[in-house]
Amino acid sequence: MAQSSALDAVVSTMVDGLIVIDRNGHIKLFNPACETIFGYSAEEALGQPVELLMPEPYRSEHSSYLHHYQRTGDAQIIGIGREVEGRRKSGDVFPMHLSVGEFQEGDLEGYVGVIHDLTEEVAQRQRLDDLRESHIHMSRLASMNQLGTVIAHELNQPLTALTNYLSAGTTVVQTQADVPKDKLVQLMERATEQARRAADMLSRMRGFVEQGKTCKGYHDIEQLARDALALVRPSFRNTSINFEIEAEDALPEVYCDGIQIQQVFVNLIRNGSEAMDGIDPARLTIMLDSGQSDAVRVHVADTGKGLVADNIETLFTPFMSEKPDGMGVGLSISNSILQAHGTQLSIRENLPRGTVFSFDLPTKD
Amino acid sequence: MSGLRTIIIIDDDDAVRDSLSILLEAHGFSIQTFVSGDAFLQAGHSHGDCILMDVRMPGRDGLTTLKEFRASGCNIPVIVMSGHADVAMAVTALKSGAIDFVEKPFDAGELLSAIGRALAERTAYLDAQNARLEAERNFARLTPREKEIASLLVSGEPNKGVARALDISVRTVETHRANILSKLDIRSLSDLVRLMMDVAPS
Repeated sequence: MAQSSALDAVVSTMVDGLIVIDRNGHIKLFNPACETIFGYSAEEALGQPVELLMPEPYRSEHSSYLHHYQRTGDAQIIGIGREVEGRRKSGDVFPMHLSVGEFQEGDLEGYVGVIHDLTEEVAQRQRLDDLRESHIHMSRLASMNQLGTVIAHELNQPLTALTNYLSAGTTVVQTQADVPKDKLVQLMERATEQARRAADMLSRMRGFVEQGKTCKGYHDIEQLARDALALVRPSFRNTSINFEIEAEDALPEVYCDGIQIQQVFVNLIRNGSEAMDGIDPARLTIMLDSGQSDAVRVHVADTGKGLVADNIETLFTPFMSEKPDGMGVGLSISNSILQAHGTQLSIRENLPRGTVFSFDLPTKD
Repeated sequence: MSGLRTIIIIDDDDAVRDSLSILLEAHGFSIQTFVSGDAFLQAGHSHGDCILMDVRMPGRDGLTTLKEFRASGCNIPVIVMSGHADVAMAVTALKSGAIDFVEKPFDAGELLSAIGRALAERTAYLDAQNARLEAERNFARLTPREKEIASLLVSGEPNKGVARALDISVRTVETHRANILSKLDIRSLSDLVRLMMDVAPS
């Protein structure tokens, strides 16, 4: 009996919930941890169907699971354990880990379940995800802040042209007697085209700074690269850098968060371009090819001064920057974005000079 | 001024060049365009009355182009255009020799009045240059003796002093003086002083 009372002590002090149900699904044991987790006293729970502790759809389906298992031996959870939802007395539904074993000991038989309340873990995970997302967003805002003045200039180009075309139209109408219709139409069409050019630029910017939950979908990788290049390029207008995109024909779409991957491109293009300050010839090439099956391989190659071997280790460490005005978050953010896509950045030397950053993107969910 | 006045447009944006050309042509100017400061400098000295130039361009930027352009001795007035005009930029542009500064996007009136000021300056400069050339031509027609007397007069010597210095009579000096004024088509000693300053500023 000593053994039995030791066992009782274990069961009543263990932190995880322990439940025993009989073959019909009625609760036979409900330890104190279960009382804490579910809010029912043992007295209330004992003898009740175990569905009491389940939210829909488990609640309605449980007895059919049980019969299915008893008839076929096909286990969905028994001997395995997995994350499911539980329902407290208050009606709250919460995430929990449930592992179930089956026992038969003389005339005692049934199932024993161990319950671990995951409420805290899940909340923690969620907080981390939210934090990561807002971190990524902040870094996007920061790079937009750096690109901002330059982009304002860029936006003024179409606005200038638009104003000029319209003023020219006014002048022509005011000063010439018989203005040919097609001349005016031509001016208006060109003005419209410039308005559209300004609008495109704005929508690219807006998309980039928009606060967004991670939102994955299928994207044209070449278009993502092109949009990112359009955001960064104005900053390097005063340089003689040659920007190129070399994309294989008929690349499949990639499955990713489009804005975040654009952000990775923006970071890599800027890094590469800054590394080529004062270097001639300066070439930044984005190469897109279908590497392995179910993935597109992306390379961003520069002909810059290259990385010093010592620095490679600290490359992904936030706030470690080689650049005098660098925040040092670009590469670490890029890598954490890629990790959330199940991939990562790799680095190698570009020959004869420079650096190549590469990563894969999945073509399927 | 006879003939069309020529505006040189330097901007790397196709649409800006195209639209400015159309606008300024509608206002009766003749236009030349260049895609960059480099292209403009490589083309050598262009004939134009005013240059409209963007500050931000690939290769040599606007301000560098302006400095090199000035260093090469050309003085066509330059109006600098910028998309993010801050005060510092405007000051730098003006210090580098720009006559004016307009912020993109500008309206046609603003641009045309800047061009008007630049062209007025250009006209004044060309008039002064013509006056100097004419003075030089006239001065060249004086005899060596007349040139000698003219410089003595300009240095402040009275007729008597000139006569003494050259060992000739005051009467002769007076005759020479009358000939000098008539050959140079001027009336007084102060005209002569101004003219001599134009001819030999150094």
